[in-house]
Amino acid sequence: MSSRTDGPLSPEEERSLLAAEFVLGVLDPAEWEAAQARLSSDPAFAEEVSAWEARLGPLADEVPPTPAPDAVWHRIAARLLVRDTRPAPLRTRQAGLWESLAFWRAFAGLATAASVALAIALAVLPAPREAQGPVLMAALAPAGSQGAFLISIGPGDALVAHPVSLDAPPTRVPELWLVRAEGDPLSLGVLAPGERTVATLPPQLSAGLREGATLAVTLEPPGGAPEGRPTGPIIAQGPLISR
Amino acid sequence: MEDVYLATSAKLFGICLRILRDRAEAEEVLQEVYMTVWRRADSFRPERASPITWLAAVARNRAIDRLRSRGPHSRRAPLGEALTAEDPRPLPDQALLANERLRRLYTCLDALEPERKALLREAFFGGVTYLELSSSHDVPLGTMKSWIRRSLLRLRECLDP
Repeated sequence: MSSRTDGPLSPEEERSLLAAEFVLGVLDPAEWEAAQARLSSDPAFAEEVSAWEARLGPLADEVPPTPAPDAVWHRIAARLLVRDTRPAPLRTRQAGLWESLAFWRAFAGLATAASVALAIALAVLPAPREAQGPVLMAALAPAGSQGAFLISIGPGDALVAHPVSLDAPPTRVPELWLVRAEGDPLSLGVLAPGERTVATLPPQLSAGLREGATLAVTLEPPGGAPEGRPTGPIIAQGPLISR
Repeated sequence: MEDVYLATSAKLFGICLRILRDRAEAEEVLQEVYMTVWRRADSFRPERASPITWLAAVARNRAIDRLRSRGPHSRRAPLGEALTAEDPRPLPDQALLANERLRRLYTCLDALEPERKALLREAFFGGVTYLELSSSHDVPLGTMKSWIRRSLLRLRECLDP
């Protein structure tokens, strides 16, 4: 492929270059402001910016991390009305996060941001201790606002399910399903409503679990869906990713 | 969310500090970054980049935005400080292999002439404008633009063959 850097550029190439300059940060203030505004009005430009952020972004790994003051977190928590569970100095406690219901309850009430918050959590947080080794994980985001769940499936078909938030009437229980391309959804079991569920999946159930498969949660009568088919509404769903 | 903050804020604060070179402003921008992440959650594309890369991109964007709104002559630290053409590449080769995207980026950057690579790195880490670059390197603005644009196009050709 010959270099096109010397000849006149097509409009697409100009747009891509502008996006690159924007991401790099070399535009002057007026051009910067115009490009920033263009993000919302020009989807093709926004796509190019996304592409350049992905190309150049990894360079940011070189910047040495600098611990941020706790005060910043307290201000964020106040603005977002997140329950600030530790007004005292923040302590890192990466181990055991999955076991901490208080941590996951902090995600409750996230509404539209739940899915990205959970995706971030999946990416940065260690897997649960029951699932050391290659795991499949899913963040089941609210279909309405009734529930959000974090699921992990680890070696030995160990399933761990965390109800991040659940708004269910007392006559209903959450049931986890594997949504299949063909055929009825397959039940992976009833989840404990207020605490995490740890279970071992039988092999016939775990066979269909792979990256990209969709998990969903419905509300069912106590004991689960009577005939093994979902009867209640889907309250959360999401794809399995591998970690 | 608090533990997500703990897991990600040091990286993002480092990015803001490097660009703004002012601790108080970096703290303000850091707060703005998490608010932005919250509001613009639906613009995150998991197929495009990892969540961390996206967070870092938001941090750079907010930091540069703050820098641009400061005005042209208000940089606190002298230009060029700690942003030389040296290659502070702290990551050992083994770690690079685990980060495929970064490894490919390094390979493509290395394919550029060393001075061009240094310019791109200076721009990326420092958030400097074309004008500041042309001034600090004592070349005409048009020349600097041409250098950087050509380098970006070559970079893209290398990364997306």
